[in-house]
Amino acid sequence: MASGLAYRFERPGKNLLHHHSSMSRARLRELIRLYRTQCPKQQPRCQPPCWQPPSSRPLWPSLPLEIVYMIFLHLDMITLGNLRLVNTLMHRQVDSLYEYRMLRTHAAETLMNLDIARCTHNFPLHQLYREFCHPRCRTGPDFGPLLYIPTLSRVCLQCVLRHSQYRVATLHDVSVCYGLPEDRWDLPVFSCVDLLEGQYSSDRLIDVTQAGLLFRQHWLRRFGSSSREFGSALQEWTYWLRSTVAFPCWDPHARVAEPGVYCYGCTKYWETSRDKIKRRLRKRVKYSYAWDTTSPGSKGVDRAFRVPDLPRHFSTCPHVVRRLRRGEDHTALRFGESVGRIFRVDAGGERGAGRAARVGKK
Amino acid sequence: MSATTLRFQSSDGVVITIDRDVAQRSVLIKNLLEDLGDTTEAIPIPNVNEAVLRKVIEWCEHHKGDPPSTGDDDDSRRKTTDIDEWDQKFMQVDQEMLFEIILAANYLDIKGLLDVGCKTVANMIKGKSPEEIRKTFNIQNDFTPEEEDQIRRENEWAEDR
Repeated sequence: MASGLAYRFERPGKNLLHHHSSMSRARLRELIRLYRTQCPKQQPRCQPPCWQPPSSRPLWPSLPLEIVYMIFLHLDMITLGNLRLVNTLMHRQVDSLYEYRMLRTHAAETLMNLDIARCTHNFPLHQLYREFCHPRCRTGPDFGPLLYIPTLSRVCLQCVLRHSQYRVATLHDVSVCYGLPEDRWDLPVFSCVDLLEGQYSSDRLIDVTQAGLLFRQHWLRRFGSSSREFGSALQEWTYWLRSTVAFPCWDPHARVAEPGVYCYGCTKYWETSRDKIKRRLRKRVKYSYAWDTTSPGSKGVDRAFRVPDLPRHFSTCPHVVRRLRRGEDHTALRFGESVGRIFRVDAGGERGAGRAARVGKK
Repeated sequence: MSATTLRFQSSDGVVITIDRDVAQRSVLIKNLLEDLGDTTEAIPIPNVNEAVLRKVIEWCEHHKGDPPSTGDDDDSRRKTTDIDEWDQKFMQVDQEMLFEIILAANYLDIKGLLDVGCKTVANMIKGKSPEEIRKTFNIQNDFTPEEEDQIRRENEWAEDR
């Protein structure tokens, strides 16, 4: 175990599906309000056989709070918001639900992005909260600072860029490839906003893996044999990152929300290598994402940690920086831009504090 | 050797005989039997009346061969609306009975039944406006217009920031 310098992103969602940074507050409010108004009308209504006629007397107060909470955990954030408007009792009950409060307090930006993608209603609170507390990437060993929306899976950047499980395509393309009409896909569909125009584009996206599985089930039910590989043409029309948002991780024991901590040494090495390559090529390299993954050291620069996991990384990291040089900037740089303030993590996995912790003594 | 049937007495005094393995779907009963050993006397269930107890037994009989719930990821990734067809029909009762079944499942500690009950109520709420929820559960709105406005504002994430 060793100490070293680290940093957090000041804006963890930058360059992901992150509308907050690119659109005006007024427009965001408008989009969210519109979705929240229209959302109940879009959802399938509970019709018979699971519909019960209203009782002649209010029965809700007869339910113990523990059962009320169990019911609430099966509801999405929009419905819970509507429940807060029913009466004071329900308002109190929703607000006292721990999972709901923690998500609203510590993952407000993620929830807002889900609203703007028009997919909040697909995910019950228990599913959202379970992922909120799950620190690891669902397909890799590292901490996952991101959320892949279609399957609500915590994921790290390496996996979301490379793993075939995190690809989305437009509903239209999927429907054409598999030969199923658009309304037959019983999967979370989410919308994309054209950030320049502030309007929803006509592209609505769904998860490619889930679409393939659903189609195979459909085919098996209909023809009783395994399907042909209809979806292979989809490979050309799949997208990465358009379906991923920043998602802090909640540690219910430590009671902290961790958006992800990065090794400053790895970042510095990557930034320096990138500069060298740029100078050697003698041309300006243009990157579409701040998180480029092709340069030397890119695997390290994209790797997020929780603070207690960093000392183990520092003990083997060849680029670890243990103290800043005199006069060195206290912020980490990526592409020459400041992305977050540097702090020291000691060998015990505690975050250091004060100037002495950040700048090396003589 | 332990008896294959057990007798239970509902809160309204009716004695019902059921198979031991059906009764053991209830964790409360299972623990009780472990403590009591063999008994021929009717076990009182003071919080559950006959009609509700019969419904609970019906559910336990149908699900007596089910594996115990593991609560693993695959389970919790299922959609809320995913309720078994038989369970959906079973829950086609009036609201009072539905709530009584949930309370009985909670008291008797029958996780599967409690889960189906909660999911059914959640499905009754999901996608409804506050006014529709009030109608469904016969609830009076006790907010002032100002309070309602305030809550509406709180519901909008973007305004919190």
